[in-house]
Amino acid sequence: MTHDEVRDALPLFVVDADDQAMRRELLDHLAGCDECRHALQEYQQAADALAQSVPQIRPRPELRARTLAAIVGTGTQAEGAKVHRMPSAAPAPATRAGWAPWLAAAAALVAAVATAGLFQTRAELSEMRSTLAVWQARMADAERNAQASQATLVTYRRQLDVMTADDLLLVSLSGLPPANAAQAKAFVSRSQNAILFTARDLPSLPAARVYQLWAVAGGQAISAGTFVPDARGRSQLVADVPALTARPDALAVTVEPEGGVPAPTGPKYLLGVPAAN
Amino acid sequence: MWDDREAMARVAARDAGGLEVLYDRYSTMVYSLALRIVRNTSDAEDVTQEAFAQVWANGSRFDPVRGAVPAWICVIARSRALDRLRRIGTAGTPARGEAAFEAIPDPSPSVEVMAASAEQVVAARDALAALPPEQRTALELAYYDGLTQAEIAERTSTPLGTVKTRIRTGLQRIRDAMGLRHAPTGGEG
Repeated sequence: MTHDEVRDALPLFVVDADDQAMRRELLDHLAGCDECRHALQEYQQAADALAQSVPQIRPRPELRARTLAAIVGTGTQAEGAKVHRMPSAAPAPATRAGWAPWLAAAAALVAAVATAGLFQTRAELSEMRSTLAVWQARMADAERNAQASQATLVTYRRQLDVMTADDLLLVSLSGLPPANAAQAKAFVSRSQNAILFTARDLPSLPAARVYQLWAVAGGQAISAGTFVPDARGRSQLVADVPALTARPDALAVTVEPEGGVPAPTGPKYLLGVPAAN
Repeated sequence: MWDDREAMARVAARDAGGLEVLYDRYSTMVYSLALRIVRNTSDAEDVTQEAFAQVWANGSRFDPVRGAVPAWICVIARSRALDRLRRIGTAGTPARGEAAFEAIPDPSPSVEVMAASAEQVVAARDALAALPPEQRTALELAYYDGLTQAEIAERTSTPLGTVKTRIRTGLQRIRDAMGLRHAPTGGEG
């Protein structure tokens, strides 16, 4: 490439859009041309400014700890320091006559070559450890995600088992004063010992109170757990109710002290009976 | 607080404190560039992590004569981000951004290259925004999307020579806006 051709190619070179087939010639010319190197430096600075001129968005704070732990959390830095400070092989004293000085020099040379090799290997090892640490952090992330997904999957599976059970009962619950607007639906399966419950428009609770869901069967109220609705009065519950051995005659929701009670004591806010099968 | 050179020297000596300083100073720059290139936060976070891992691994090879620390980190971040784009299948060719940086050997006189000032970055951004759309598109496809000149020509249905001219003129305008216009050094080349 001529000097002018290289000058023309430099802006393309710094953004990697130059002609790859000509790159060797371009680099050869750069090695011997101060003017082109200066020009390259200026284009490089312009490209760098391009990088820094995108909208600046701060990463999540958690990324700092994750990144630093993954990179330097493996204890490689101390070893790396030793590598950098490793003394070169001491030259053997050439005081003895004959072959001794030559042999000593040869030994020193072998040691120096070995040291250089070691330096390279250690540096590579350090780099590989850094890479490994990054992947280990990612694996840990992936494992956490997998566990969360697994838990979600178990819940979905449970809901599916209930919804497809042969003995599925649908119960619509209506609000009672002062919760006239409240509504709820429940899917009950004795074979699955479970109730899927979803409610909306429930009034907000007084302090230290919770809602408690009951299945009433054979004159006995069996607790199906407690819940606190969200700010919009909605709640969902997947309740395991092993004590539910008979077809429930009704479902009810009462307001009870925090932690729930063994038998209902508070006012009923929701009540419903199973639809006929 | 250590300046960039001191922080890099610490990194080269395997002192994690140096990396922390560089992360605190440049993680927003790296993440923002990565996000611009890969266009999703998850990959941008991975790219940020990979870029600083490379800063740590190659810290001892950093040469202030070739460029300022943020420029070097930007080059690494862009390369890792374009590598990521390629892995997820939206970039055409391998990132080679480090080649140009490495090809700035021993400027004469040998002085440390200063980082772009805040004013220069603003000037560059304004100049990029003010480019004719076809020049800006060509430059952005090359820089942020890692496309080759041939790929840009195909993507924009433009002759290859026109693509080259657009990129060249676009970057020259940005360089000039930053006050970097080249003064020939007098027949040394």
